[in-house]
Amino acid sequence: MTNLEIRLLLEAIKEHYRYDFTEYKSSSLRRRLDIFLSACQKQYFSELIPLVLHNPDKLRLLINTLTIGITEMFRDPPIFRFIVEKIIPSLRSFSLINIWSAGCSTGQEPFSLSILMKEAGLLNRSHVFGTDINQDFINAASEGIYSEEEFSLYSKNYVESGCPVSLSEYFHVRYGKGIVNDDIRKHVSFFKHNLVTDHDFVECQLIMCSNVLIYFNKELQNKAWNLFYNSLHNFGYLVLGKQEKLPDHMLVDRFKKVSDDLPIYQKAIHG
Amino acid sequence: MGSIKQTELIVIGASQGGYEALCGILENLVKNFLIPVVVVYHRAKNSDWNYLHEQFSRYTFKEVREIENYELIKPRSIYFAPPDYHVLFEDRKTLVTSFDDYVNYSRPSIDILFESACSWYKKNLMGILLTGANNDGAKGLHGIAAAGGYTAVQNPVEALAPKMPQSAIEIFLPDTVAGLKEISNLMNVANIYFREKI
Repeated sequence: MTNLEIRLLLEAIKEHYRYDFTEYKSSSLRRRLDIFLSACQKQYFSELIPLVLHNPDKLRLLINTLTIGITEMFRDPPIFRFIVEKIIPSLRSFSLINIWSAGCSTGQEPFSLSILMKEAGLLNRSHVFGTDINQDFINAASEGIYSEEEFSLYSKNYVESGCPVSLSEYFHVRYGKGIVNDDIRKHVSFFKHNLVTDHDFVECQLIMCSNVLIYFNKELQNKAWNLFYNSLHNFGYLVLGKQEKLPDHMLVDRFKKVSDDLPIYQKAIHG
Repeated sequence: MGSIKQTELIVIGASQGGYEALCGILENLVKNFLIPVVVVYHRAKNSDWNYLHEQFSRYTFKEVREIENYELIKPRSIYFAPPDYHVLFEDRKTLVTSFDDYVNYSRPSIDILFESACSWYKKNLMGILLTGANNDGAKGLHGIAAAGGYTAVQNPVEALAPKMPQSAIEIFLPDTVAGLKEISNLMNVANIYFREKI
């Protein structure tokens, strides 16, 4: 019965709001729906249907529970070190460098990438696009404001990524919060984008998408792989989260792995 | 009361002091141990899997795996949660990873694995909670007992960090509170019944 109710709830959200969670992994989805159900003090999932359909604010709360916003700047330093040492040098030949951070949550990843571009002296030729399905996250990302605790963690990651200066070079402090400097922000823009229902975004030299697709089932993941393939410039790079990897069939002629131990791929050109 | 005659899957939670405790259990398991084992062992984000893999491969299991997204579980294998990711059962045979927020200040969280395994295996699950310095796993283990599964807790007196097993004992009465050797003996007996079934 519970599964039926959850299916009905997800179908209702899909029909009415165009948010499609029907193909998300059921284990993670169920955990988060349980959290939402008790927060709403309801007993049955079917009771959430009228609540969400007649009240867009509740929908926002539900979306915030279902799409999680856990991210850090320079999360997984070895990955960023690889980007600095191996990927950025090969981007120098482009007159315009587009980078897409897909599922960027509250903006930490796109700002990290933009900082790396500045350090490489490529900031003026580059633009980072941050997208997320969640409008609240996009709004927060556009602010570019992070708390002191977050900032000290990010600084540590930054040092471990092998970066040359101090992260505070790129921030100014106001009211005890760290705010991303304007020169960095000018080269980052944020859009709401849905990896499941929306199409190609912009042609990019580098796409980073970490810890987003692990919540998708296999069909949905395949949709996203194709979307990334179509959005990448020839020989462009795709960087995934530490625990993620491309399925073998994408490695036949579309991508090749360019690192032994990191989930980093390059678009292959055949024929 | 759970029964080890029904066991088809074993889940183990361990934290501080967990490496020694896990070795203590694995070294007493019989050859050709069949029941799949899934472990959440709290370790550092940058911990060296190659080393752990080598160490844990000395024992009975044919496969010692760090769990990948959509990992299929098989007999004669032991699976470890990767650092910094939760693991859950997507269905009876498939493990998935998740990057959800910390639970009990932990990621991976033992509670998350236990609750999710319990939702699929119920009375066919054996849950084991070992040494650790926080209370992760107590709630999940209680859930396993409530669903009719078998529960075993390392005797806090013998645990390097007693808080974790102690936390479980404080909220319910597990089927067994014992030393590592006795816990591995229980696993060996469960394995005899499992072998007959398949």
